[in-house]
Amino acid sequence: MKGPVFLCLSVDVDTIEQMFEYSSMSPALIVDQHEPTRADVEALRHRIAAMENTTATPRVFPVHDALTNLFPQGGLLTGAVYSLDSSASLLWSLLAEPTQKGTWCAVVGMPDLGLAAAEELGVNVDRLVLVPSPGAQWMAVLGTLLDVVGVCALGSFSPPSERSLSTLYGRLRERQSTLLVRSGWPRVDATLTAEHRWDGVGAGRGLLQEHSVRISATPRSGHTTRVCDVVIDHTGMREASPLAPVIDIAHHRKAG
Amino acid sequence: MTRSIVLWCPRWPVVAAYRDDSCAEASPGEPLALIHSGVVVECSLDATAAGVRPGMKRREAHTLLPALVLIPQDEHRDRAAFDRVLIELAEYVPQHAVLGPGLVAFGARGLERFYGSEEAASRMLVDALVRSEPLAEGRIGIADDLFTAVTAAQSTSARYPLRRVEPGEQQLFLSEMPLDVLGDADTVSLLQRLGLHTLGDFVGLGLDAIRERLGVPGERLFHLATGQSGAPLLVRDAPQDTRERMELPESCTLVEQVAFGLKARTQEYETRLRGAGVVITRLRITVGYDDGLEHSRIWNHPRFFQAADLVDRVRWQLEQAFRDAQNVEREVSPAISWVEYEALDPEDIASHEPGLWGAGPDSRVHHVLSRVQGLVGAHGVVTGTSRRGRLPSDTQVLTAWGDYESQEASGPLPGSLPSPLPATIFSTPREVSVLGQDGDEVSVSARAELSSSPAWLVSGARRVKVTSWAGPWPVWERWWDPARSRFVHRLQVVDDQGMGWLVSLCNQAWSLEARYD
Repeated sequence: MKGPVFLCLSVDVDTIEQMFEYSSMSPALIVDQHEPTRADVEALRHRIAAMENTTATPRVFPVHDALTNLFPQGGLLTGAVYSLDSSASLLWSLLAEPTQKGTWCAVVGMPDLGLAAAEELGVNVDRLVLVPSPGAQWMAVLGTLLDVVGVCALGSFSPPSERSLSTLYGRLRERQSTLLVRSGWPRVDATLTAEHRWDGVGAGRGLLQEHSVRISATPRSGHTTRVCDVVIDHTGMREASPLAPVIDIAHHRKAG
Repeated sequence: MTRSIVLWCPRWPVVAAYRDDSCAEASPGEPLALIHSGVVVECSLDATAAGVRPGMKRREAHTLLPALVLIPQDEHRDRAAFDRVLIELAEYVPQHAVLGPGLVAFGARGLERFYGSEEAASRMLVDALVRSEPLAEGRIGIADDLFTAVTAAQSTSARYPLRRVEPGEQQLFLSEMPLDVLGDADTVSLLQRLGLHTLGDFVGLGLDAIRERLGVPGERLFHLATGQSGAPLLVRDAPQDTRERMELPESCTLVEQVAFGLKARTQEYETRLRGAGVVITRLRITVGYDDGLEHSRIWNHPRFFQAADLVDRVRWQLEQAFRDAQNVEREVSPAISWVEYEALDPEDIASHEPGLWGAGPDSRVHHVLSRVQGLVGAHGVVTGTSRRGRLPSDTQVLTAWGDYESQEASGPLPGSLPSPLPATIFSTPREVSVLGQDGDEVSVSARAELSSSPAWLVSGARRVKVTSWAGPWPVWERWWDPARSRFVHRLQVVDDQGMGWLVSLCNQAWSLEARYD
């Protein structure tokens, strides 16, 4: 009876001893054996983040898995302002996850929207409020909506004076909401642009079938631009497989 | 058993249909029949005189009487109309038991004591009924138990509208009645095939034989037929009058004047209903002008209306009416002289009580969105649903916050726009020219062929090059209805920036319907 108990004890002692030996325990640090993969980098980031206990983890609204690479925090940062171009697919794909998680989202000042496409991209329209034409009252409408709305998208309005802008951004941070504006606004946290390509149509035949979008996010503070490729078809949105688009584009250019 | 007085209004659904504003074709004096699944269920007196009978097929009835107006049966309408009568009757009899639209029972003892005799009470009831609804006819049956009283009321005639069964004589009265009054079609048919025709024959079989052959349901029928059904009369208070007409002290032409004039009395109205234990979730507001015109509209609320909401709805309704009236040339715009509220389907307050920790986040959302509606108008804040449609504008329905969306039929729609759908749909389609390589506008032949390959999309000064396209697909909707029919050709186009467009050709004019962006 005594044998196994002793064995257990010795294992415990080993564990306790090795707890303090950092260098030999971490496989991520052995870099010369293979190329560091994304998973390794992520694991390292987590370790660094765990050691930096001084900063609280920022709250984010989750985004579609295919889009997480665009954002350093993995989602739309609360209290932040993002500038989008006129692409509605981009807007819907950003609103899809928050509405599905039950966050109310609002779209102010965009009368031309396709809600059926939004549903195809995964937006829960029951959590979506539209104010198509607020007119000159748009600042008041926006200020009121921020009380309950998590993500608010704004149509083409020229930015207000610097003073009201500071009030608005302050309110965003206080309410923990995210604002999506059209290009031309100062002090945005990142600018998102989309390039489109449609496949499936020829000269008088076929049907629009596959929408490849290259979304690039340029942060304000001059970090490198992050790019991700997504494909939208009748099944919804998914990440483009890494190699296929390159070949496709070459083929496309030759044909055009 | 409670001695009961039953008031029966024959052909009540017909009266209700005559009184319903939404059935414009049914006006008193015209022969009318109510139909359900193609069969006449009730018809007016003049239709009966022409030979129309309940149970007749729709076409048969029309052949007999070509002028016959046929409208669908609606029990909700019958009940709502009868509720209005009950509110009037409540002045004479505080409590009643409604057995169905057009059939109501009262306890006989109290009425007899107050009015002196059962006959006097009956006369009073019929008078009150006719005063409140002149088209209706009142018949009275009085007996010791409810079933006998109802049977007695329904066996009266226009000449003798009262049938009183003396105490203790209900079995004698019932024994002469035909079996149909039992209201159980299967059993009645069986008994008739056994050669029985009256309730007396049925009772003559004896309780044991009936119980053996028909079981417990048979036993229940036996008790009904002997006038011993012990069902107590479940009386309740009269329904709350949910209509209130507010005359303004003087005719107003400004929205704010009206809102101010209504404020205090709306609060009273709301408090009165709340005191009676009901809240308003659906409301009809009718606005009366001094030139005799009326404007009415139904409003819905996701939770329930409070006094301030009611005034807001009046304000929105008037603003909408004024906007509509701007298009019509009038010398003097009419002034508003009265406003009427009518709560439709009032709901029990208990199902709307806020919980101990508040009514949850959704009430906060509603509160904020109502405030935004105050800024941009009721129709400025909308929610949307998608549905199947052939053209982009048909693929979505926008409803004002707080309104119910009408339920659309779902399911596959042949010729609907294929997926993936355009992410941007222009609320007003933009004019565009589709030009061929030679610079001429592209047209579509009767065989749905393009006159030349599209090469340019030109909208004002903007000009984009077309790299590929697909279509055209002809869409012909509602060809059977010239007013609403629509014939367009759809074309999907991709420009040199990789952007997709949906253009349509209608009456020789191209327009940009949507953008695939």
